[in-house]
Amino acid sequence: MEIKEKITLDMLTSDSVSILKQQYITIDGTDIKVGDNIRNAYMNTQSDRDNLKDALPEDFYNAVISVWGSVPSVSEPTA
Amino acid sequence: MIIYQMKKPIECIGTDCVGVTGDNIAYTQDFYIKGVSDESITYTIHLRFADGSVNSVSPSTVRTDGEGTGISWVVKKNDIFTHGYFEVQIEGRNSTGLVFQTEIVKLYADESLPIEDKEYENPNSETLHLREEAYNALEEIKAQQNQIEQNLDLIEQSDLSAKADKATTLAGYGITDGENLSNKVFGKNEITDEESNYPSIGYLKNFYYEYSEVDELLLKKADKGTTLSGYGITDAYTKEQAKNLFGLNISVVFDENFNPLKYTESASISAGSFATGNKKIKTAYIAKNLRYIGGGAFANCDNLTDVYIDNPPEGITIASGSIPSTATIHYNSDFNDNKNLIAALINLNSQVSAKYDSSNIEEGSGTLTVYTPAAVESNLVKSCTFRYQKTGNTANIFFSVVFNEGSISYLQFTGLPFIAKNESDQNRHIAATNKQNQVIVYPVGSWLTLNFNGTKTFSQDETLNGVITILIN
Repeated sequence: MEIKEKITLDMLTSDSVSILKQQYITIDGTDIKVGDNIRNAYMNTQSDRDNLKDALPEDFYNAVISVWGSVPSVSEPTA
Repeated sequence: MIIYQMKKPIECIGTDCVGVTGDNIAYTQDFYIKGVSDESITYTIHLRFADGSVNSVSPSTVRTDGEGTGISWVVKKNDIFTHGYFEVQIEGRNSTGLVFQTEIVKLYADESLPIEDKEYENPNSETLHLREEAYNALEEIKAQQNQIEQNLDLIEQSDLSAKADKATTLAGYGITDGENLSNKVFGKNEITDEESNYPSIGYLKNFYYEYSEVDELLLKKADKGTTLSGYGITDAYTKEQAKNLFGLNISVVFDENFNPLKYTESASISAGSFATGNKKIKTAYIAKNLRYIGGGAFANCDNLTDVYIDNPPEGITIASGSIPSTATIHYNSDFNDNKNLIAALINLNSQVSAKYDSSNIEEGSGTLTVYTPAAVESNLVKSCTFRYQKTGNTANIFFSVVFNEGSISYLQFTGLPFIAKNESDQNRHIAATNKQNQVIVYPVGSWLTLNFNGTKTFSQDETLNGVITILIN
């Protein structure tokens, strides 16, 4: 049985995005959610842009970057 | 014979009557045309009668002798239509057309006399008339004979000597096949051997009630009634009881948001007892058991727009002026119990839908990523996971960090589930590992910062569990 992953780009702004990943199986034509919601937010910092690239398929990543632009808009947080 | 010189008749010999009308063929008329002796000529004899009718006949024989042509007409049946004088003209034609026509001569035809064997074809036959009259007379005689016979029967029946005297019995009239009364029974005590002689009596006994049995059964029945008690029924509610028992029996007034303001279980309300002067009241629901709304019950309830009454108009008394004229009164039928309560609460769903429910709550989990380069290099963090619960714009994040053996003064992670508002940065939380290493925890955007307030050393699998609450940006 194939498990499909649904990715939602939530609260996407030029500075941040929250990525929600949900898994589904299809039974008799109906999608049934399985497992936990998996959610991580990312800021438009260089490190998070790198993390985002690892976390998302390319088309989703490109969708976020098209909003974020080619350079980070947020500085890396300091302690 | 009629002799022509070419077409002109020049001599008639013994010719006057050539035949009779009808069927007789008793005569033959001969013609001789001098000067015409051509065998190729075909002749036709044309006849015209006194009534204007015409006929054409073919000659019986035609012969030529070198000087002329002899024509013989044997008069046949139906050649002559009408008796009396008629005109005759002979026409000759050859293959090229008309040769000539003789001049017209007149001949005479006799009328035939009726003869017996032809009378039925003659509508004027006297014999036929006589015969018809004879038949009619015979039929009349037969009818008269029938009437005579009927009259004879009547006369015979009227013979008084054959009549019975007035009597009171069948025998008195000589009747011998009347009902035999000796076979009748006149009482039950006369009935013997029911089974063989009177099987119908046995059937009646077996399948029909005696009158005493009917009386006994009727005594068990209730008289026709209009109420439950009229039929002796004690385990059912009357209409009035049902109204009170099955109704909500709580009358309620609501504000504009359908929040209940006040209620009463009373069967009557009046000025001051329930809702007088309450300007917050928008809607009122009056239960079935409330049967009297006294004067001033809703006086000065200026914002009251709808009063839903769970009774028909005849089920409640409303004193004049008790309800503001601006409010609409909605009555209910007897058996649509609480229907008006639902109507009164019809907008409540929209009020509730604005509230948070499970659809507003999201739960999930995730993994944080170590950002602090020194911790990455030393592989200080064995794992860092979290669970979150989001309600509206607030999220509680329960995190768990498991350390490998090592030291560090602060740690930063990326990957919180939501971006925290800037205000959340100030929301510092204090937590401690299971080895009592204390730490200040706070979010920055989607980052989680752990500040140990100086370098701390962690043992293998030392664990830090904590929670932060953030306002979602």
